Amino acid sequence: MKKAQDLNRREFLRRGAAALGAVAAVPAIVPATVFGANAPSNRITMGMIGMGLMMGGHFRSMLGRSDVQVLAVCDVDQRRRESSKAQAERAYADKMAGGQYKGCAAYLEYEELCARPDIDAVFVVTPDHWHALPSLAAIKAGKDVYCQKPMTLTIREGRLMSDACKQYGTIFQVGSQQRSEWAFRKASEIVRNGWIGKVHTIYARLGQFAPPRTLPEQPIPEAFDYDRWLGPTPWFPYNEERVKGNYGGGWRRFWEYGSRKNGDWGAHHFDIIQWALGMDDSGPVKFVPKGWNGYEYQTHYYADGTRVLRDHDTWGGHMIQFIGTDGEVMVSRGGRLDTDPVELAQKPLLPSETHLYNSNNHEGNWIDCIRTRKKTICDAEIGHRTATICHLSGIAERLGRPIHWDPVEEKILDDAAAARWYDRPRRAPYVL
Amino acid sequence: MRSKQNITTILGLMAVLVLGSVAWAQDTETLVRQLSGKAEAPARSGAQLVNAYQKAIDYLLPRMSAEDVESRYSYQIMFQDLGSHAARPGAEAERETLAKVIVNNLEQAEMPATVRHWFVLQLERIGKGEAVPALAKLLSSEDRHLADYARRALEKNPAENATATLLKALGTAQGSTWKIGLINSLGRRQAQDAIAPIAAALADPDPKVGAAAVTALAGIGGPESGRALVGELNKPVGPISLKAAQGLTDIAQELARQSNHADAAQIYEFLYVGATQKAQEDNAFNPFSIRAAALNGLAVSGPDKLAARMAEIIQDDDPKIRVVAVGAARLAPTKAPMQILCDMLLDLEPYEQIQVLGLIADRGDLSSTKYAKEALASDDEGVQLAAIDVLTRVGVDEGAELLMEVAINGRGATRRAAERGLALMAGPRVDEMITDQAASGDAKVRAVALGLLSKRRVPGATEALLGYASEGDEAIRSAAFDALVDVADLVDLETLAGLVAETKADSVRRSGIAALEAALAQASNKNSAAQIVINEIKTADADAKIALLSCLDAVGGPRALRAVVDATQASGEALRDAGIRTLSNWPDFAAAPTLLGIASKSETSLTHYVLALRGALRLIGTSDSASLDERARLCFVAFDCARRDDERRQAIAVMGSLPSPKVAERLLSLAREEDLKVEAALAAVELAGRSLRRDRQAARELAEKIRALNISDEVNRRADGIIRGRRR
Repeated sequence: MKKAQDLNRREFLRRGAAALGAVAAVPAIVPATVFGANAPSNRITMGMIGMGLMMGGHFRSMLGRSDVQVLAVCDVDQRRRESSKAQAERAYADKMAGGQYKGCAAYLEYEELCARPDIDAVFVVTPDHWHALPSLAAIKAGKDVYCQKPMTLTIREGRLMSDACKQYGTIFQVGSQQRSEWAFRKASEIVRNGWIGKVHTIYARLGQFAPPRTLPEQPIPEAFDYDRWLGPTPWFPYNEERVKGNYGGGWRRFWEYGSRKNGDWGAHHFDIIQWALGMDDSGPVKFVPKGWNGYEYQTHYYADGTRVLRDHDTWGGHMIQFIGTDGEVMVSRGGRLDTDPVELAQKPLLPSETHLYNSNNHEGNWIDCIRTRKKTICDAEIGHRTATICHLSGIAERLGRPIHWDPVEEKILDDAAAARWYDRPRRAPYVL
Repeated sequence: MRSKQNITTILGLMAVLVLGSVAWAQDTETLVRQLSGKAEAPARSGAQLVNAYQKAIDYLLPRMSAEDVESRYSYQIMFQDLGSHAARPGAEAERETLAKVIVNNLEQAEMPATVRHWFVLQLERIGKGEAVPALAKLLSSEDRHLADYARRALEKNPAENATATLLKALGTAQGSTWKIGLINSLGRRQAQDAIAPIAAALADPDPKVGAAAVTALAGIGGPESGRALVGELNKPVGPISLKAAQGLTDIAQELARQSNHADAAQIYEFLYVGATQKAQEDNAFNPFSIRAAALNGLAVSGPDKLAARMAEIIQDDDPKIRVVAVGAARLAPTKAPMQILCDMLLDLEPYEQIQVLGLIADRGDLSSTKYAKEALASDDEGVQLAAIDVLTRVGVDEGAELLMEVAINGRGATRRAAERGLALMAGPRVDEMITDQAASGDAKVRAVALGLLSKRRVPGATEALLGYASEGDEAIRSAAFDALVDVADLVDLETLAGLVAETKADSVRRSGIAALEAALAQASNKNSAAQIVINEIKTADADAKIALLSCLDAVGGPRALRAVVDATQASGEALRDAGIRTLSNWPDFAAAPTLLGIASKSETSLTHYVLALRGALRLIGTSDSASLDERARLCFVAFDCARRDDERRQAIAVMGSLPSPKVAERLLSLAREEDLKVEAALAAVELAGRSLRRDRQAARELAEKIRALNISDEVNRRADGIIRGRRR
């Protein structure tokens, strides 16, 4: 057997994990100092794909970590990738005695970034239609991946990504970060342990986007590779509104690039509901669109009859409300947790009860797991199952009729036209 | 006269035409609603259905093509809804009719390119055999976007002749992008007939075409595809070698999914051996990911084969492969690969030991305690912690005993981890062991056990702890009180308060007070809870009286407040001091007037004045139970009775959080005075920001007034922000 090359850099796993025993006992955020000396050879080397709005926080966070080194950025917008490269180099230069650093590359094509053997892990923070391709390329190149939510654009993408993670041993984190918030974990533990009896109804507030639009053609900005931005999706004429990355609309409004609010917020709230119900490897069986046959709310049903109503009013304006035979749990971001009976919120768990995965920092959990090679709190299978709910809700909405789903075989049942939506064909030359 | 008649006639005709057109539009909209399932539809014959769909398209097409592009959307969706409804289960005749009408219009009607794309997109969703010939023609369209729409529609088309159409197009395809699209579509259709032409594309000069061919072959699967990919691997390393290996792993994974593990394992072993050999032969080519995928696959499909190689793999020179070995053992359905790692545990590097121990913990193997026990003796703290995690999660009695030993005699992180583990572990006799150890024996052991009794909420723990809290040994009493904090919601307040009242030693009393405060904070009836403590105060000695009084801020409420206010007026200095200190920490607004009363008396000591005034300002600034007017009034009182600028500044800051016109006026007035103008101006700007959402006009006016005073750059900058509508 030949001597392995590049041992110094690879040694990060050895030294990092050895210093990380604490994580084994407490799967929470671990201060960087626990990893030992953060010499360059010990750092996790990172590539960042998609340098838009959502990447901002991740990027700054990674640049601030002494146990991580960002080696490359990638975006279809030349100005954006160049400014990100400059930002990274500035950040590292500020930390160096000489005040000079030129070690961050900028790529138009993620394929080039993924082909670099010196990059250990990547963030994929593109619009939804660009999650699967770079993630799969990174997985197959042996890298670990943090992919923003919802994990996919189609159900098939999720199945392939989850299978690929198992195949290649990838440490994969989906950006449904509510799992790493105390209140959502506690709410899920209350439900999972039966403290409010049998849950039968759940409300989830996702909000609404304005309808999609047909837009007049505009000239494509010079530094922007629009064809690549469209990627695998059908061709439509360029318009600034189509590609914008704002929270209130932009590409999020269009079915071509996501599942609208079902994908945008469903990827958070449906995810927590899956967790609380213990359905991380399964899912609902029926999806009914709003307006069908008198349904006032978009609804999906689990096999035991538990139903989830979208945008029903909740107590105290909470994001999610679980209603059980013996009580209720209401939970929102910012640590808001209300229960009926009230004492449930503070009631401690007994050793014999179900303790859910405890993470208090979503990115940190991923970094820790890269070292320990343990599962993340929201791995690819979980992300796929949640995204499937988002997609099936959207498909039912567009078809205007209920969809029946087999979560074991992962098939849309008894509706050939609906089954075509399991995946979308990809524009050439994009291949999944 | 005649001309007037003519005009009237023309106007009349125009009116009829306009009205007729509106009526037609209304009729057609109803028709569209019927055809998309949104209105009840009459039964229609085949010919009537054709006419109805055509009429609907005649109505929608010009609107989908309107000059005003944004107006097109709703008509596009109406068109899409026609398709969705027609393709519903049990309506095959409607689907086929609509698809034919769409084809007919595609071939005959004029429409903008983007609308034509939309038509083809509908065929992608509902088209079958009837759409194939038209889509075939579109494959050679000069509009290459349209051609690609057609290719995608064929990819989704369930008719067999769609495959033949795509294959024929591949035979004459030019340009890499187009070839890739066709190969991909054929792969997605899992077209067996396409294997040979796709395999031929593996040799395409453009590696991107070759890569697409690999993906397609992997998707089609089967021996023939597999042979084509193996053929690539038998050639010297080239641009698609890695891709071909990935394709083979996909084929093996599919075989495994179909429970054909023997064939899958054969492919994985072939890949592992081949990739390892390539890596040895060529330093520049390290197919790490293929080796990893092969090992993970082997774990699932051939765990014994993996076990046979495990000793060699865990000693591989590439540390990443050693990591993969542990991950692969995690996937294996049998214990054999893990067992090899366990047997080698002490020979491994500490980081590998940690990962193996993590594997043991995740698999929850009951026979693994002995390995964890060995690892506990390691010099490496990380390994010890991983061993503790194993014992915690495996949850056997022997593990609990080992953890207890560490919790008692260990240090630092390992001791804390052992305690945490004991608090969580679910072994069958763990509660019993802890209860026994709490009851008697060495004080150090008992102290640890007492903490665990409450953390685990062992049945009967609260009563037992109250009993231990009355023992003679101070260490045990302290430990019992400390433990009671964790079961404060269950404790009997009367007993606890009594125990605290009779405690003499300071350190033990501090623990007792902490427990009592925790219990009071959880009380649902504040007055009853307070009364229990007040009753004890009445009979307690001087020190205990003060200690008990100081607990009352944990419960609050009128009865406790009365007792504390009485204490602030006590003749004894120590009790009065305790009363004022407790009142300054009071949890509700009701204490604010009394605190201000204390602060405003000239005879109040400086210490008590500061405590009282700051306590009052805290309540004024944070309370949501009192009205804004009352809070503002008391804030002015606080400002006026302040002896020093420090407290005046604090009062001004609190004013900035009280959005009321009176406060705004007072701050403006203060901003015009020399002494505290900067603080007052900043508070006024803060106030304006808070008011912005509720009363934009008033907020801007206040900001403008402050701006006009031109107090400082910082104040001006913030005021400008408010004037522009920004809160900060």
